[in-house]
Formats: sequence, structure tokens, C-alpha cells
Amino acid sequence: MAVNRPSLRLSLWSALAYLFLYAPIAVVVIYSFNAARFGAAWNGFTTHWYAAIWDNPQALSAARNTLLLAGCSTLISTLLGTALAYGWTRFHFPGRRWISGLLHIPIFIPDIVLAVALLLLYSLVSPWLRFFELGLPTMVLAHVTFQIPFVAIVVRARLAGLDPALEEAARDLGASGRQKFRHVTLPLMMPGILAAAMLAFTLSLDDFVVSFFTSGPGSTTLPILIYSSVKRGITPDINALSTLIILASILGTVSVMLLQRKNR
Amino acid sequence: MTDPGNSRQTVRAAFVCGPGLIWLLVFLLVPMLLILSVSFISRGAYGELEWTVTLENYRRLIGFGALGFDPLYPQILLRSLALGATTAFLCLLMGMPLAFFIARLPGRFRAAALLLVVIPFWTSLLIRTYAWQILLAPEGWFGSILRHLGMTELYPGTLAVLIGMVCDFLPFFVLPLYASVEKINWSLAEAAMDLGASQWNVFRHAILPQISPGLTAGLILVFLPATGQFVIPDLLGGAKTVLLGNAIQQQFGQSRDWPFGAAMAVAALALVIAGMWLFYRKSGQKGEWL
Amino acid sequence: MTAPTPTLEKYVAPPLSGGFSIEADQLTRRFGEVTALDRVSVRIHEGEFFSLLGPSGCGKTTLLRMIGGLEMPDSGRLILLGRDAADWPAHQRPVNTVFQSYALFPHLNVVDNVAFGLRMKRLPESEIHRRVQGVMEMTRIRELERRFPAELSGGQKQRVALARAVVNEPKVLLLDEPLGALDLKLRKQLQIELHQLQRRLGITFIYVTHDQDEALVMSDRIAVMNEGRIVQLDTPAQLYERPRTRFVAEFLGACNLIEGEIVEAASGQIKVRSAAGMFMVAMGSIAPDIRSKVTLVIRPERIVLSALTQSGQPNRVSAEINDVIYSGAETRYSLCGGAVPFHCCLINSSAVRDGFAVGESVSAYFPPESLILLND
Repeated sequence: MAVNRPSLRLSLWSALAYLFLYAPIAVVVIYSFNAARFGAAWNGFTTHWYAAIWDNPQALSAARNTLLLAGCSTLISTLLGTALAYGWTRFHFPGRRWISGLLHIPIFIPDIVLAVALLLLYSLVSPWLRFFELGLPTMVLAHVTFQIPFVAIVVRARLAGLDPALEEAARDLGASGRQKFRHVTLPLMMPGILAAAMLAFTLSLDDFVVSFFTSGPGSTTLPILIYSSVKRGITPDINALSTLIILASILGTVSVMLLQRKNR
Repeated sequence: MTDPGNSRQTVRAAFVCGPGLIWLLVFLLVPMLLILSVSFISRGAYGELEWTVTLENYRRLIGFGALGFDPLYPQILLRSLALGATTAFLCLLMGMPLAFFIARLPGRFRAAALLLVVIPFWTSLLIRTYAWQILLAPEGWFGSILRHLGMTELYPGTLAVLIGMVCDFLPFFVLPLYASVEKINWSLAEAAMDLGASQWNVFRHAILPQISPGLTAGLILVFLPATGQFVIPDLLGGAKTVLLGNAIQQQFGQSRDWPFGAAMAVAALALVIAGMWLFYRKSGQKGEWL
Repeated sequence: MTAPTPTLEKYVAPPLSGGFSIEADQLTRRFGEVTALDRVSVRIHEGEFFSLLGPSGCGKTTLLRMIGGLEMPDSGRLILLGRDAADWPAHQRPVNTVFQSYALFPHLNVVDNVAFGLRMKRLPESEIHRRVQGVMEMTRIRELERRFPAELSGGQKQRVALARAVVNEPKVLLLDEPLGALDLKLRKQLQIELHQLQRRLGITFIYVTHDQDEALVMSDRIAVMNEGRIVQLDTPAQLYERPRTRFVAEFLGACNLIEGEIVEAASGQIKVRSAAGMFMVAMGSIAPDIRSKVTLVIRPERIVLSALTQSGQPNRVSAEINDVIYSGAETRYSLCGGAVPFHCCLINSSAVRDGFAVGESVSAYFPPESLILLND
């Protein structure tokens, strides 16, 4: 069936929408090369601000925290979410149909509600358990919580798309339950798991609200650093830092898209 | 191969799903229940929790606090809802043509055009929001154009918040809608046109029913997070545009009135649950736009 | 595709006197409201090419999966190679399956797919290599070694799936409509190859299909299934010549059905009256009652057409030719005699090259030994 090409009016309107979507991203990238220290006036091209990041101990420590946080939480959430997706698709058990609803809660609720709820939990428990005093560990717990649903949903989509005959063939060819999982199911799930881990990593990297409420002294991440800097007034080195984060997000998104395409 | 209700399967499922489910139980459901319980207690003199049961927080929320009628919080609630709804409407205006545009592109451009919507979706909302500060600032490019047009009171303010919201949430609307538009059976529209239906009638009777799941999903996915937003009004709104999200932050931050903040969070949650219910009922499918 | 290789041995008649591979007793399986298998009992000989034939949803695949261990019966007993299969898990049974969708592992290349079963048994790599190479030689997929399933054609996938199953040297090979997705020409060729392979390996093949031609060409015996039951189990010739029910008669090949009523039964012959005339039929094993309604079945190629002679004799019907369809090897005629329509099919040998024309009146002879009496 031939679908009509978009009309000129539709194309122009869409171009406007794209412009609107990318204007803020473009302005951050452009201003990261602006030689002017203050204000919005253009004062010539420089890469000085990127070099300045390396001399800024705050930025480096925030970057370290961000990567540590994203790495740890992605690892945990990918393991838990993948297992959850596997059990969810492969076994029948009471309460199975409630899982979908449970997983959609963190996707729907405003970040701030999850953030204050976790803050409340931590502050009530920390007098007894020092582990729950605000810091990187509490942030990891929080991030894993909103990552699990995304991981589980992405992996489940992959699992549901697999031909059940493949696993039957493995059994038929003499694979024990463990061998079947190791040599057939897991390799087939892998593209889905990788895509899910990428998504989880990007989510953690970009999160500000939950991090803001569950962080403690010394556990500042890049988004928190950017926020507090912005509150004081936008500076070009913040734009440089943001540009790097945007770049990471774009790379992450593109690789997830490529992985998803390979899935099909 | 799998028998429903098999007890051995339940045991294996418990081992496989258990850790993830327990995690969500401890770090999602328990905190939510804590918020709910704390919303019914009072605050001590120094901001500590005082475990005496009261409905005072909710009374204050709807304007009838201990100090008599005060419209501040009902106003915040209504303003949040209105801003959320306006954002959703503007996303509809802007995103619907975009979704149709992408769907009508030839194959190889379509994937790229879609990717261009997905990239902002996964790019830090904080960064995209503060960028509007630069754009809308009176000395910025966009700001100076607007100043020449006589719009001086734009930033900070409600209009700036709205611009930021639409920009940030547009992908949330376009992606689920596109999933529906992509599957449209155009021959229905052609048949309707063949039968002499007007453009509006073709859209209303041949297209709209086919895209309504994606449309509903998109609108809810914009409305809910927009209503609870905290970063956008915080950076673009200034003191005059306090929304539910900021109010919650205030109570858990400077004001240290957690019980009252919890009551507001419960209000936001109630809104979400209503939205999710609608989402499930209307869209049927979930998660395919991810 | 080339002709069958000379490496395959000549036809060897299977030893049907041996033991049984499968002894199924009253197997039943329900899926919710649907009864997929309804008290099915069957014995399958060792070394037999056995087909399960029937329309979709008749339970043939369920029975096959039960033998493979992928499905468990709700009740009944299955003896596999002399051993009760109830607590014999699928991965330990000396049974392998060629799946309908082939189910080749997309992440493994052809060699690794074929070697999969042997690797699971942790055989030494040298032996795996030897056996895999041998089987790939036999199924002629050597040159595909390094390809991945996504890069194979349908016929090639089918061969890989077959090699992957056969390399394990199973006692029983299960084939679930393995040729269903292929085009007709390739299917015909692979039918012959499968048949020869089974003779060569000498193992039991259980073949599920809904294609009657396929079953007739390859099988030693065929079980025709319908609605979860085996309706008739016989050799291909018996099934075709002596169907016991209308379902079997209609499912296997073309046939003419003539409704009638028994008017006389004596001295080994039954006389049936129908709208087309009187028919004499040889009395079979069933003892029919006078006046009972019966159906007569005759295959189109068994009717003998000749120029019109005097009518009134039993088994001879005056008919008019309504339509003639020439199809190369044979010519099909649609006729009508005494308001009963029927079909007839003549081989185009030189003797009857001229045939008959539309509108011509002919005499159709229904030989008594070719008429089958069904009382359902």
C-alpha cells in the first residue's frame, strides 16, 4: 500500500518541531565553545572549557560518582530485572498478573514522589542501620528501584519474541535444564539484556531528582553538580560538562537502537 | 509444556523472580506505604515526626487548615493540573503532525527521523531545561527576539515553564502515538474518501479510532509527569510558578514539614493511579513504545 | 538440487517382525475445553516408517510431542522402547525431532547446530567432529558449514534440521511436517530422500503430516487421525483401497460417494439401490442389514467408461459427460448418471487417446471389487 509522502505543510511544521526539540541541546553545545566567561554574548570559539573540566576537582569527583553509581546500579538492576523478566514469562505462579502493574508504578509516578518516599524510608531506618545514611549506597538502592522495571520490560519483550520451539529443540537434543539455559536461552536473550543495560545506564546517568534527594555529603553526581551550578548562574564549563553528557546519551541511544534492530 | 498453577513452578519462580520482587517491595511499596502513613501524622516543633494521627495535612491541602481558609495549596493543585493539561494539549498540537510526518516518510528516512525524537527522550531533562534559561534570558537570542516582539515578562514565569514542559515532554507524546500511527490501515481512509467523506470526517471515523490507544497513552504520559514536575518550574518558573512538585520539595526541604509534604505526594500518587487505570483501560497494550 | 546420491543404498524391506518402538495405551490429553488426544492406543514397530495423517487440530502433533517428551499425557500409558516413558525426561530419551519451523539455533552456525546434541552429551571433540562430518556428508550440507541459519534457504534449513537430529543416532526420529514450508518440487525430491534415509538408517521414523500424498509415498503404515482419535490404521494401499469410514475415503485421494440402500444380501454379494441404479458389491467383513442406508465409494480411476450399450444391468450406469479436463498424464471427466454426479479419471495411454467429448453419452462400469461399502 502506497502511503502519500508528507505534504509541504506537514514537513514545515515537523521541521519546526524538530527545531524546538533540538534548540536547547544545540545552545548548550554551542555555548560550551563560547570564549565569554559570563553572559550570553558570543565572544569567539574556544575549547578551553573542556580542558578546564580536567582541572576541576569537583567535576572530576562528580563524574567518578556518576559513573560508579550508574555502573553499580546498572549491574544490580540488570541481574534482578533479567531474572524477573525470565520468571515472569516462563513460569505460571499466583500473583503473576500483578507484576505488570507493579512494574509500571515507577515508570508512571513523578520522580519526586519516589525520591521523597525513599528519603523517608532511609531517614527512618538509618538510626538503626548506618548503611542507610545518605550517600552513594543509598543512591544505588534508589536507582536500581527505578531501573528494574525498564530492564524487565525490555528483556521480557525479547523473551516473548523467541520461538518456543528453540528451547524445545534444545531439550530434544539432550540438553538438561541448565544446559538449555546456558547454551540456548541465555545467548538468545543477550541482545535484549544488553539493550536493557544500556537503557538502565542512561537512566541513571541522567537522573537528577532521585539522586538529589537521596545523596549525602561527598556523593554529588554530575546532574547534582550541574543543578547547583545553574542555581548560581550558568557558566561555560557547565555547558562543556553537559555537552559531554549529551554525547554519552546520544551514543547510548544509538547503540540501543542498533541492538533493538538486530533483535528483529 | 507449562501447566498453570503447578507448585514446583511456583517455587522456581520464587527463586528467579523473588529477588527483583522483594527489591521492589522494600524500595517501592514500603516507601509508598510510609508516605501514606506519615501523611496522617503531625510535625513536631523542630520538624521531627510526631506519631499522632490527624487529618490536618489533608485539610490544609484543600484549603481549610488550622488558620482558616487559605487558597494557596488548592491553587497550587489546580495550577499543576492546568499546566499539565495545557502541556498535554500543546504536545498534541505539535506532536500529532510530527507522528504522521514520520510515518509517511520513506523507510530509510523514517528510522532516522524517529531516532531524532528518541535522542531527546533519553537526554538529560535537567540539561535541556537549563538550556531554556540561556535561550529565554533577555540577552539571549530567542529572548531578544521576544523582547523586540514586546514579550518582556516571559522568563522567569509560567509561559517559560510551559515552553520547557512542551519541549521536554514532546517525545513522551510522539513515541507512543507513532507506534499507533505506524500501524494505521490507510486503505480505510482511502475507502472513506472514495465514499465522499470530508477530510474531517475521514480523520474522525477512519483514522482516529485506529490511533486512539497511542493518543491516550501519549496524553497520559505527558500529563502525569508534567503535573508532578519539579525541575522545570524550579529552573524556569521563579517564585510565582510553584507547582505540586516544587511544593513537595519545599516541604521535604526548607520547610521540613514532612507529613504535609507526604500528603501532597499522596495526592500526586492518587492522580497517577487514576491515570494508570485509564492507561490500561484505553491503551490495552503497554511498553511497546519503549 | 541434484538427483539422489548413489551413496544411498537400495531399497530394503523393513523387518516389521521385530519389537515395538512405541506402545501407546489409551493416551489422553486435554487443553482446557479441547481434547487433543482421546484415548489413543497404537503400536509402532521398530524400523518402521510410520505416518500420523490428519487435518490440523486432529491431535497428531500432540501425540508426536508426547513421544518426544515435550508433552505429558493426562492419562494413559506410553511405553517407549520397552520402557515406561512417564518419568523419562525429554532430554534423556533416545528420540530426536525435526521441528516444523526447523528451530535451528540462530546464534550458532550450521556445524555448531549439528554438533549441539553431541556436545550436550559431552562426547570427545574428535568423535563429535567425525560424526558431524559424516552426517553433513550424508545430508549434503558440507559446503554450508560456516553459514548461520538466517543465511540458509528453506530446503537447506530442512537438511540442517535433519542432520542435527540424525547425528545423535536416535532410536526413533520424529518429524513434524518437516516439508510443510517448501515448494512442491523440492518437497517431492525430499520425500524420496527421507524415505531412502530411513531405509538406510533402519530406525523408526514417525512422520506427522496433513498431506495425504506425502504419507502415501513414504510410509509403511499410516494412522489417520481426526478429532483426537485414530480413525484407521493401515498400510497405504489398504487405506486407499479399503477406507473404513467416509472421513478416511475423502481425506485420502479423490473419491465418488453414492448414497444408497441395501435391498438384498446373499451368497457373498450385496445389492444396493441408488439413484444412479443398482450396484452389486462384494460382501466385506461387516454384516449389513436389509434396508439400511449405506454409502458406496469408488475411486475415479476405477470407473471404466465405454461407448453406450444397453442399460439396466447392475453396476452399469448410463451417463452424460458434463466436463472434460485434460491434465497431461490423465484426463478427468465430470459425469452425471441418473441425477448422480460423479468423476472419472482415465490415464492417457495410447489405447484411449481419443477419449470422450462433452455432451457425449457413455456407459460407466463400476467394477464390484472396486466398490467400497460404508455404513456410516
